[in-house]
Amino acid sequence: MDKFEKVDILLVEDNPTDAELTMRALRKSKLANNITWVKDGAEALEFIFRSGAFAERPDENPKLILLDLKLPKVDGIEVLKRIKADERTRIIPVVMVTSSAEGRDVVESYKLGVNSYVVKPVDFDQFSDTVAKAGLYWMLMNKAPE
Amino acid sequence: MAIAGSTIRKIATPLTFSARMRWRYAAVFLALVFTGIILIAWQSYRALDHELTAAALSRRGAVSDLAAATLSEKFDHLVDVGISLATRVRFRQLIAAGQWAEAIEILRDVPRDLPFIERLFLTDVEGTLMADVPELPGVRGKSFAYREWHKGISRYWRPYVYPVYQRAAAPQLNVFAVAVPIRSGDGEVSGILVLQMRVDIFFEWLKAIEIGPEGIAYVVDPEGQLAFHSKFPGRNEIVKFSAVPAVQRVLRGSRGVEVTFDPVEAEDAVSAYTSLSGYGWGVVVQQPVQAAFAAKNDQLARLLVAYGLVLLFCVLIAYLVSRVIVQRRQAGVDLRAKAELERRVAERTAQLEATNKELESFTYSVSHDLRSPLRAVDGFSRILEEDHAGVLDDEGKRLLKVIRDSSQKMAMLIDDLLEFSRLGRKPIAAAEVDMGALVQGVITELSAAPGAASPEWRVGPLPQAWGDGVMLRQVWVNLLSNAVKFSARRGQPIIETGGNTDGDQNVYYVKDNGVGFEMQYYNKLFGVFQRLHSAEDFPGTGVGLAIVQRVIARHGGRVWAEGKVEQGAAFYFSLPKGKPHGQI
Repeated sequence: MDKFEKVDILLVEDNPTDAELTMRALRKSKLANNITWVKDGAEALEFIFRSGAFAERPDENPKLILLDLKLPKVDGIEVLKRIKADERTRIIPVVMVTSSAEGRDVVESYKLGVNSYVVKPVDFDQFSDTVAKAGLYWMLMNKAPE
Repeated sequence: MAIAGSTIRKIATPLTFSARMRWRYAAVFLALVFTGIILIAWQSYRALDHELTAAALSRRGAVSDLAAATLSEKFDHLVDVGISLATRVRFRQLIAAGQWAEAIEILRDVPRDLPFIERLFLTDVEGTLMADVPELPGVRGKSFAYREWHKGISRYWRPYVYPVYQRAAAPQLNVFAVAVPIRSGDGEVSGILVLQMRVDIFFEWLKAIEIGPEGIAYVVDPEGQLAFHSKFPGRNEIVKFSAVPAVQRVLRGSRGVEVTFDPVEAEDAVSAYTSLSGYGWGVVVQQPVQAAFAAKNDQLARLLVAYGLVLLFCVLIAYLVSRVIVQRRQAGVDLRAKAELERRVAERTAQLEATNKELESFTYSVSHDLRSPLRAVDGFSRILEEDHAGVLDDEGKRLLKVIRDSSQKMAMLIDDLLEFSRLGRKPIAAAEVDMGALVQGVITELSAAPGAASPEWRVGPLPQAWGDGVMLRQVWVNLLSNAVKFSARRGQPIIETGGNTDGDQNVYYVKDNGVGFEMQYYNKLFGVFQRLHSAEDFPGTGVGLAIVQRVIARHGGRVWAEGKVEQGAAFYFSLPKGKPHGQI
């Protein structure tokens, strides 16, 4: 059971450098205690719905999902759709974190019930700031339904 | 246009070919029909010609038959008169008794009662004149056995109409005679009664017969001598006509109509001849060919004119029909060419749309994929700076800053490029735009930016515009921020904006008293990534004015500028007052 600890934040990010930068930003904001990082949509779904490699995970939803839009295997939109379609996972706050500022992605995400949509700035300071704010907001300020 | 032209040609060629074939068939068909019509017309013309000729000939024949019948009747009548005179009982007895003077007395009144009888006389069987009435001096007792009439009657002792001759006694008229034998009670011929008529009588007899214009009629005796000629009724000498072919034939007893050369009249003539059966005489009725066929030729000429008119009419109809067909075919060709053109346009449009889609997904990938490594460059440079500042000297830190500046510059370039391409694809959401409010909003925003310059704003009246508010806002942002940027170094920057209506266009402008630009580089002003100032002096990517131009062009307007180095710049753009027609 030690293998699976309590998870606060699920980071779904295929790009390791982006993942590292994100985690660093979260760490700086003291939000990095329980971060799990998965690298593609399929893995994310396995984690969320406790199947495959995550079948033994305790039945506990993460408090926040940071979801990249463009992912290998199953893309972010599809993952979002599945999360929001399931009664058990619908309440998990999902923040889309993406490089794309394309309008259609924003619209599509909000249609599917995303809780927030964050465009990753190239500037690292801005990036850190954005990620930290999003994490803080959803982790601390927003009272998740029990 | 070249593509469209070749397309039409390509489509039109096979059409023209098959149409040409069809046209050829139609032409052959028409030619056959016309040939048929002409043949039928020619056939009927020939038939009619034949009929009319036959009619003209038979008319001539009828005239000659009528003349011959009239003459035969008259001759019969003469013979009857002769016989009735010669068979009177008393007369016969007196002749048989040789009492010639008494016998002639009985006949004395006959020339008076029958005026066509010029004279009558009695001869004995030998032909010696015994008595006559009216009496002529010096003929009584003279033998006329040499005369043809005597030879004629003495051959069979039957009544005989004999040829024309000139009377021996004065006046020496041309006469013909009917000789009748006088028989006694036992049947013996005892004398001859001769009735002598002047040939003028023929004129009387035949004058009622219509011989037609230029027509002639003549009567020949069995000798071929002319007894009467309608052209020369009073002619005195006796002319032999036996050389004339018609005369030769009529004297042989035949009857006919023919077109021959008449040696006497020296012309082609239609001659009808009829013999007087039993008398050996003949009648010839003749008309020059031209006159005889005048009516026929007239009729045929009228027919030809009618045929000509019908043919002309047919040709006209054919021409009109062919015109209609050609026009229809042309219309068909045009329609098909147009349809094909439209199909190709639709095809191209679909291709372009597909290409556009590809381009869109490409730019999407660019926006996503290029930004990620840039972020890594910037982020890790920052981490290096933060976490390992101790091991970096000042030069190292400067180099890190260059790396971070460059990556941020590149991010800006990518963002602007994406914005530029997005503006090209995005459909225009046109509506009424309050330009005054728009400009005020932009100015407020620009002034609120941290560290913003504070130029003097002079905002004039701005006419309402018709267009996409978001895009037009971008135009104002770009133009006004440029003005702020390039006038920032002035002691007192002044930015003036305004607009007016010029015909069906609204013209807006932004003027500043900034660094301006050299007009010789004007053509680079609105190009993508084209810059007239160094990035060091004035930061920017060189996309702003390109976006302005693109937005205004898509609205159906125009952008232009004026500038002088160190004396400011003025940018103008025009927009159609109404809704733009289509998109560019």
